[in-house]
Amino acid sequence: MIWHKIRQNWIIYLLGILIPFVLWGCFIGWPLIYNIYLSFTDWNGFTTDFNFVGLDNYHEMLDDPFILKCLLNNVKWVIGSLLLADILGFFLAVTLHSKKLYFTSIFRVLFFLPYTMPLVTVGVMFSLLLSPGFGALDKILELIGLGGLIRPWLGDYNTALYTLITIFSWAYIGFPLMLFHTGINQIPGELYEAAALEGARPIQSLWYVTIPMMRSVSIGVVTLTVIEGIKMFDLVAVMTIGGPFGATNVLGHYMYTVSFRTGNQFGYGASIGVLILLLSSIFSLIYIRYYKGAVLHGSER
Amino acid sequence: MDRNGSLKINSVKIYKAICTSIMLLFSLIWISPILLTLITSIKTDKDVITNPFSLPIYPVFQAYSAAWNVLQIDKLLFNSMFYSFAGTALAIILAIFPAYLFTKFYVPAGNLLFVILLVGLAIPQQTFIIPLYDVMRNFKLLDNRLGIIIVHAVFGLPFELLIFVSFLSNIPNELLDSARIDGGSNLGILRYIIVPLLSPAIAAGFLVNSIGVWKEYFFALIFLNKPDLMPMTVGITQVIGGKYTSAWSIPAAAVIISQIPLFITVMLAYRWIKEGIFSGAVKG
Repeated sequence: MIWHKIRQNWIIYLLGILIPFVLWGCFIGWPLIYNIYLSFTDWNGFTTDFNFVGLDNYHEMLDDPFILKCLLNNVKWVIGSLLLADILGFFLAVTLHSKKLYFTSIFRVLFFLPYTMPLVTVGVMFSLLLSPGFGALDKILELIGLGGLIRPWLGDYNTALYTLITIFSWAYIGFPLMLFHTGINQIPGELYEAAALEGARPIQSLWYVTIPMMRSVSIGVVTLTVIEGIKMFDLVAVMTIGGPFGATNVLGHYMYTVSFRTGNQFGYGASIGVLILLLSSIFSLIYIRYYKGAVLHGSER
Repeated sequence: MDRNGSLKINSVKIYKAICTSIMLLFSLIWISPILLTLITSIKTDKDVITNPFSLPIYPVFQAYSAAWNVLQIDKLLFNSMFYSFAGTALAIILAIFPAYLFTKFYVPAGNLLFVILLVGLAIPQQTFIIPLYDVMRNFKLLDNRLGIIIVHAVFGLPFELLIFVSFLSNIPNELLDSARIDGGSNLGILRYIIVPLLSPAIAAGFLVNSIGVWKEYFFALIFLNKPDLMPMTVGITQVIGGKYTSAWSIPAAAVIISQIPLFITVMLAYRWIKEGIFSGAVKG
């Protein structure tokens, strides 16, 4: 029965399964699996022969002080962008949704503009604005009498990472803001009317209506933000190259450094890739399964 | 009674106006990095150092022509545009068939296969970049326009697939059944019913994914080394850390030029982009 149906519509099955899965296999599946294998080797990226070295790369990772530093920085990055981009984005979305503003569509576009900038361009722009001595930020701080705060924003071991996280959140906020705002718009107005009839104050209807109704959108936004923080590369590569002294290094950038930029230690790089895979896979699975499994149930055929 | 009513309306209006002004101030501060960069780009370097915030009395556009020549921005813009349009178009063509198949036909283990196809959506590039580099080298796709387009198409496919699937599952099957009874072939139905119905989703998916490809840096950095093939994101990094750090206006002008296409797109098509991002990222 099934075979009959497949034979009858073979061209759709061919174009719909075979081609996507061949491409998927070549460019996603095989590289993902082969990367795990490479993490047990000492491949340098160019020779055709390399040795199987067992867990050596993983032992090296345990002894490598940079790994721990990077991991910690990634954790800070994730937490920082959750607080600065997602939570602030949520409250901005609530504010823009409330009936207390004119021209909300203009504001939405304005806050979305930074998200359309490549992080590389964002990095170039803020390198100019933060450059020591002449950067606009220092001038502004001087102007409003906060000259004492001036520091080499990207050169100071203690502040460089937080500077980057703030810049990232500035650029990223348009994304959570847009999703939250669209989600809030889809909440039926009757729920708020019912809440108001029962005497709920605005803060209560936010807590008892908006936030519970935003559960599924929030899971999507949060998992994507976490993954974004785990794989961060662009901003670090453009603004600090991980410096000063590894203060802003993150796993995604360190992996690139050891394999492509300085080391040619492709085996070691692959093992850092496996670490990134382990960290992100939980969130990727939550994102993909929890969300997308549901889409197909609409059609029972 | 009447007077009280109008008074009330006025006070509401005033309240809204005050809130709006506060928000306007806040949003201008929010995008002030972009505004400051714009101001910097139309001033001379001396002017930038002496009074960084004031608008120039005579705007100068030297920096724009300098940036254009130094970076060969026309080439970078062309490459970025070409990769995002071609990669996205290919992704859309590849995604239409599985979207039709998974929503309107029986597929054994369909949910599992569908989820597998979505893996590319949320996996960090660093987890497969080394073997992918090897694959690209074996296929002779390094430093190759076709290569980067294929990669972007393969990684754009899951996103387009999601948008199309969530759109198609709302199209009633009866519509397709009646077309089939009238003798329509599958490809005919796809061509004359599905694709026209999908066109809003195709437009939204096209916009969002093109912006995504335009913003992409990691693949382009690793797979393209020839200056002639570089997209904007790789090319623009030449303005910092190198020969031009003393000239403020040139990098600023480069930032502004490279952003103009994206800003215009967003202002014209915000609604479509919003639809695309929402149905691709969270609806489900």
